[in-house]
Amino acid sequence: MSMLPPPTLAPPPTNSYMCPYCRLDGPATGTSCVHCGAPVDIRASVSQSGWESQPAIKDMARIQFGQSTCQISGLYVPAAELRLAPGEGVYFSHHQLLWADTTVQLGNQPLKGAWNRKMAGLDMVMMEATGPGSLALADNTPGETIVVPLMPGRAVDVREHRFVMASLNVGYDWYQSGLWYTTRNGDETETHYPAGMFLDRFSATDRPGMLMLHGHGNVFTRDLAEGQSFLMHPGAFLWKDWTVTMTMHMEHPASGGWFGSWQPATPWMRLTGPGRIAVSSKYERMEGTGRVVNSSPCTSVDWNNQQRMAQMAAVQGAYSASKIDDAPFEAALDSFATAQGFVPGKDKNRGISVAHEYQHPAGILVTAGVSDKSGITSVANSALSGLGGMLGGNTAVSGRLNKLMGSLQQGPKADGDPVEGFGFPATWKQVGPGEGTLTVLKDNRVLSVNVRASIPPNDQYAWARAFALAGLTGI
Amino acid sequence: MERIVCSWCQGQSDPGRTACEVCGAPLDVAALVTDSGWREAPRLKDMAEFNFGSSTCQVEGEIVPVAELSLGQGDSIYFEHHVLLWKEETVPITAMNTSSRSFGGMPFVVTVAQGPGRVAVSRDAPGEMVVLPLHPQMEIDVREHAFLAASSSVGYSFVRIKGLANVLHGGSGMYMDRFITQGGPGLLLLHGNGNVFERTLAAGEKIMLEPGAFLFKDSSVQMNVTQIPVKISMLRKSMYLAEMVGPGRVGIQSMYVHHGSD
Repeated sequence: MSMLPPPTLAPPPTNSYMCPYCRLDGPATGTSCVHCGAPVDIRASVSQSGWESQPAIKDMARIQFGQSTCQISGLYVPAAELRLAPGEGVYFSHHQLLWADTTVQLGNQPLKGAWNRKMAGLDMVMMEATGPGSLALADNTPGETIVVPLMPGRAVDVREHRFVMASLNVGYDWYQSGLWYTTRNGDETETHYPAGMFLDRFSATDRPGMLMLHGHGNVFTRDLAEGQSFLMHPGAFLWKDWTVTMTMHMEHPASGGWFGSWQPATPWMRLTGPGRIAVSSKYERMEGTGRVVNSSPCTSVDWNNQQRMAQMAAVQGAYSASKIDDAPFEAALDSFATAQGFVPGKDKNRGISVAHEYQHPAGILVTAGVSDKSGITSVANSALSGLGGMLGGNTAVSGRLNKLMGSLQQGPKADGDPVEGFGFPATWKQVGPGEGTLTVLKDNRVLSVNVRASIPPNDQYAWARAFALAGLTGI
Repeated sequence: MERIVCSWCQGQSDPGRTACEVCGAPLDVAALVTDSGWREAPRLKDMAEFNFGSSTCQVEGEIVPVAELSLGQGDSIYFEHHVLLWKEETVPITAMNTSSRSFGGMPFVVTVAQGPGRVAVSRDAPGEMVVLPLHPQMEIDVREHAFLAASSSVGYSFVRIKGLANVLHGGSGMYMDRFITQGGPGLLLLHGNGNVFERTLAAGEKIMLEPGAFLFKDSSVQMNVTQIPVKISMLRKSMYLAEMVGPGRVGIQSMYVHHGSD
């Protein structure tokens, strides 16, 4: 009798579903998450840069909070219809109220520091509605209504005037956003609050709660790792985890010329993780900022400086690429000089040119140098173009610079008497009594030998020639 | 042959039609009604078409919809002059006399377009077009500046909102447009900002509305101003809502300007 394999047991049915948007477990039934209303039957939509589109809550989707329910209806400016159980309630900003049953108790909610906020120009009246009964709330801008369920210990910061409502067990506080900058235009000074003067903070302490926001346009979220930062248009900011910090960041666009830094700066908001952030796609255009004279803690980038740094890096790159491998040259010279009774002296190494000194007890000083003519040319060219870019239209200065660079590009002057016998073009120039320079051009390198001594010129020439021959083998 | 009855306008359409011949509402989609009984206005499909008199109306676009009206010979429509999007050159237009309302401070010119020919009208805010075919002997009150167009078989008047409190605190303006049909049917097109919801109140049933959200109502529905003890500013110790008392239909829009948050 053959043994049948034991029956394969199917895995136990999973009755829970973790919503990718609110990240809470809920029953795996229905077509939307019971905590945040996000549809469960769609695929996550994530952009290549990592922004995840927050899906719109489906028309007529229901969300449970406590014994009460919330139903979202409409597409363009959705309304949130709340059916409040007896004793349960929500609070909301008074201008969000769309309709209410006569059985719902409506009243003010005390708001700590409301007077300061009013003085700052923001009229914020919190109303409280207590069940039983139904009421509906709606924002006044086309966009997406989203629900952020808050588990105990979680707090989120929300842009002012994006709050629709929260359950009564959600704590509410507000604080100054700390993001500001001051501009001056003539005698007029103005302080701007690009992400709003205040931020609303909602937190759940001992029990879970529900927070509803309205994003203008479409809403996208992303996670920031610890220390990861992101630049965002301050107007687009919608909400963030309280662990995410924010500072100002200013960028001065590159405009060329010496006065590029005077261009109006572009203000950004720098958000630094860890935590989740959300943006909305419809936002106010920022006004022309004028000249920024002060700001809250701020990082900045001046793209004019960046341009200059890039130009200087190009000069340095060309400079270091043209360094001469001096070792064989120096060894050949040292060997020759030592054999002739010379003592090696100081070396001068300038990257694109090197020089070696040799002294003889008879009072002869020989300086043998080699420079890279092609290296000088490329360094001069890149420096000229880099500086020329910075100078812009300043023709007087750039003209002088051109002359300077032109002379640099020519390298050591070889305008003495021609000398035969090297196999390369060479000249000898008497610089003064007892002093002369032999210049030999081999490929793109110039070997110049200076001789200073109280001996007859012909001998100087002989020493210079000998050094040149010794050095030519090395370069 | 059994005909399909539209759940929005009660008009009848031939079997096989996917949109109501009378109001353009989709017939193959279930009505969306919230738990408390608000029904979403039918979401007209792009290019939905319906008839009135010897004319047709086609709805184009979904975010800021346009009504393109092909007027038959002898048919005409009227509308506020600034909602006209385009017209055929041959369509004559005339102005309806509403001078008494202009004295109220509102520049208000009602324009009449006469068939045959085509005209198109649209408002300038994201929202929904509400098609209300009117049966004979109906009276509908509409928030001012919410009506898009009406067929000339619909009588037009405007009622000044009674009571200073209603005008000052009602948030619905000084006038309401009133559309009345006598012996024959007519067509009324409204534009609601945002989304539009409708609910039918039983006799004596009450609901409190944000006045800015009010869009239309049967004239049988009473609109009163009710005061709620919610302090909304230093000087204003109460807030006003519109109390609607049935019987009849009430329509609201979800995007509105909140009044009285000064």
